[in-house]
Amino acid sequence: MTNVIRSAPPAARRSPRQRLLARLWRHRGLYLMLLPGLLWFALFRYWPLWNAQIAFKDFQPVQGVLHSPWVGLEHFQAFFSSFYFSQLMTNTLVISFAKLLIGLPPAIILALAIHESSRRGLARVTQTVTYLPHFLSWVIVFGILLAMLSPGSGLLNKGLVAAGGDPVSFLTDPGAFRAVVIFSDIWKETGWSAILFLAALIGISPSLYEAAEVDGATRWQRIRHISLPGMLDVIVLVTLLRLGHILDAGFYQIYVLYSLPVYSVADVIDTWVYRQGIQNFQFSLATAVGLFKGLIGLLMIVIANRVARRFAGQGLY
Amino acid sequence: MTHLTRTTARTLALVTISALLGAHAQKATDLSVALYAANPEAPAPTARWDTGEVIRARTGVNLKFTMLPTGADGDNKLGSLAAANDLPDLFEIRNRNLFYQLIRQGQVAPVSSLLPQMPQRTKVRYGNAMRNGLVNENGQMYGLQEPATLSRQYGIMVRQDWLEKLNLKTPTTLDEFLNVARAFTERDPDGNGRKDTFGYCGVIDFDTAGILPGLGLGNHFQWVYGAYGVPGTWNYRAGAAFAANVRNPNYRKATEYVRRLVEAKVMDPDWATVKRSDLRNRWQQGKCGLFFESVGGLIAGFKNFEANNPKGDLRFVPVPKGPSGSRSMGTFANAGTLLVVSKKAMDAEKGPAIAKFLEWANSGEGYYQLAFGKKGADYTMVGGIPTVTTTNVNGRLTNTQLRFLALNGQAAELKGRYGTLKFSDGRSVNVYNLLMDTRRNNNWIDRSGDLVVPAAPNQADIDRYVSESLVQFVLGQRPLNDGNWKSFTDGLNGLNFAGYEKNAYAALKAGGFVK
Repeated sequence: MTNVIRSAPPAARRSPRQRLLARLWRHRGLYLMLLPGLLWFALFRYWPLWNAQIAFKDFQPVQGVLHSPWVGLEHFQAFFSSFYFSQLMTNTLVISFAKLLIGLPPAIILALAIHESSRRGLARVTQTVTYLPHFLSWVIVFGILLAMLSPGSGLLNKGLVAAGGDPVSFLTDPGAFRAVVIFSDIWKETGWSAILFLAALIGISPSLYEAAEVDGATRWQRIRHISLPGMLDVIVLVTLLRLGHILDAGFYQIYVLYSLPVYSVADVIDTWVYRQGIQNFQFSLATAVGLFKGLIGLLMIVIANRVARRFAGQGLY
Repeated sequence: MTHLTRTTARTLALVTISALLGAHAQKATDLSVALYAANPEAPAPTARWDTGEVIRARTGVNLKFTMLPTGADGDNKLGSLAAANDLPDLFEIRNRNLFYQLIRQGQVAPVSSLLPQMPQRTKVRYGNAMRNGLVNENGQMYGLQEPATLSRQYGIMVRQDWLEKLNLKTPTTLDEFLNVARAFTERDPDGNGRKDTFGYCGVIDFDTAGILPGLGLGNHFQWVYGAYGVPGTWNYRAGAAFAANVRNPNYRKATEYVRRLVEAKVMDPDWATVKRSDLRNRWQQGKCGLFFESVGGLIAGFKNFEANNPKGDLRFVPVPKGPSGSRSMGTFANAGTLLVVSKKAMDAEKGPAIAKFLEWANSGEGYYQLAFGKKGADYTMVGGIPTVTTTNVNGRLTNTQLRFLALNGQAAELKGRYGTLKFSDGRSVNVYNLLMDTRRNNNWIDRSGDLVVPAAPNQADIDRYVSESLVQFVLGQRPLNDGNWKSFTDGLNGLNFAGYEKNAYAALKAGGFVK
């Protein structure tokens, strides 16, 4: 009797399906961890795309998404021809780009400062203090801003009056309101945004800094030639992701802070959609605007990614 | 043996009781009911809610109650439920735009078949042709329009102690109002040595509780437009020349008066930004000499006010007259809660259960249970008036979260709801009398027809355009001159405002509100 020793067939002789299954099984732990994330995307990001068809329909809940009558681009036309369309686009883009361009550098600088600090305790306290405002709701921030900026009793205005000046109605003056929106956003979010950049800095090998120090590099030279290049991929990533949301100027913040006197400089696409689409129960219109925003965001990401790959040598994909 | 027999008997008794209870539970009809929070400051009812138990025992209805948030949040929640085709069986609706949309979409059912099943309720509540006209569409009655149970409860309050201290008379005209407001701002009426008081406190507020805010600056400034004969959105008396009040030259004059108030710096400098809750904090702190408030707001805030101003004395003043003698605190709708039944509920044959439940809530035990809570615990009857006796305020408020189904607005009810405020120095105020005074003395104008005016497709833009422009004028961001006013009224054309007016006229005429 001959003993037959069975062995696994050589990998080259396996079918692609078998190879895929073997690879999945080998990394089953990782795929298991990936599963909740994939499910989340499937449920909350891809499934709603099916319902997005109501942007092209006169949505009738009784008839459902599928059987509501088609109306073509009617809701898009209603948005593009609305009385305030150009103002809404301008406000949205100005506030959004300003938050991106003015808000990103402080986060980078804060991350560099914390990373460069030789006193670890102070760095930790600074990091904690700067990211705590992220957890405050905009309603609370509004209360703080009112206490600071109110023309009647605000601390800042009291200071202005004490210095012989006139009080400024920061929250109702169209000339000042956008600055309030942008700087309150920076105050609230800089610490939180810095966490990503700090993580990138921590990932840089300490040997690079040690070698530079041995070679006589100053602190500024180390930042310029080691830290900033080391953070570049994260800076590009964050910028690209935020460009994808360029038509989201911050609904909650503006909804809480704005009032009639500053609508001309503060009313953005999302606040308009809330009033016209949600409060007037025009869900198809609201969906059409959401779809439009998504398409613009996608376009921005594609263009910015190409630009980033060309000039910075790296992109999101 | 005896023990066994007893055990068997007990078991049999338990099984029998369970079976009976089970049979009873099977008979109960599940009914989802959504109402705006009657007492938003009190907790929502829990699953084991006394009132829910009573309702089940008396009507066989297994109530699933949802408390809608007040204001736009509640409207939005109903809108979301409608979009998901998941409306409650019976619900209150405040946003007429949503109401008409639900009718068009076939999500709500005609309710006339319920009326014979609740004869008492129908007799006292649904016999008014004008009110029923507000819920008719294509010859069908799509809602149960309740009478107004509380309206015109707002007025202008004055610090009487400040008037006396500064030797001033109650203002009766717009000029006198401005003079008093100026004195309250500049002559340190609270005597603290600081210029920290405001002549008039009002905010931009469009709350529709018992009044109609109209287009423009909202409830707190309607009295100014009333003094110029143009309160509310529409001029019902214009006949064929029907138009929105905003086109009337007096509308500009009223706006100019508000500008004078702002220019004279007699108003809280934050007035255009802050909310009603901030205003309430300020008058309770003793910062406001004149302010716009409701009777309910007075009841809710008087303890705080007294703590901050032990000698403070608050009174309602009659609404001031304008240059031509016109006066009105604003406009109101002579209609209360609107109850609607979803088509799904009717299709599921829940109509009889809804009618039985509403009939029970109309009078007797049901009425008192829903409107005032548990007899003996939350209230007792004193001379025919249900009088609150409990000190467990939250408990009572929770027990009466369904009161909008029961309230009828009759005198005994209002006297029970609005009793006497007692100050610690022995003074007292009869709030019911105050309420009657605000109704009598303020020349409120009935504009119930506004409820049938269809919203324009671009209603949010129209609302914004008018309100924003007026705020810019009164704040001085845009000079209030002939050219700018013309530019403002011409700008209405870009919003197809004429189409909005035309549709409004047609709806008001069809409803018999204008000739």
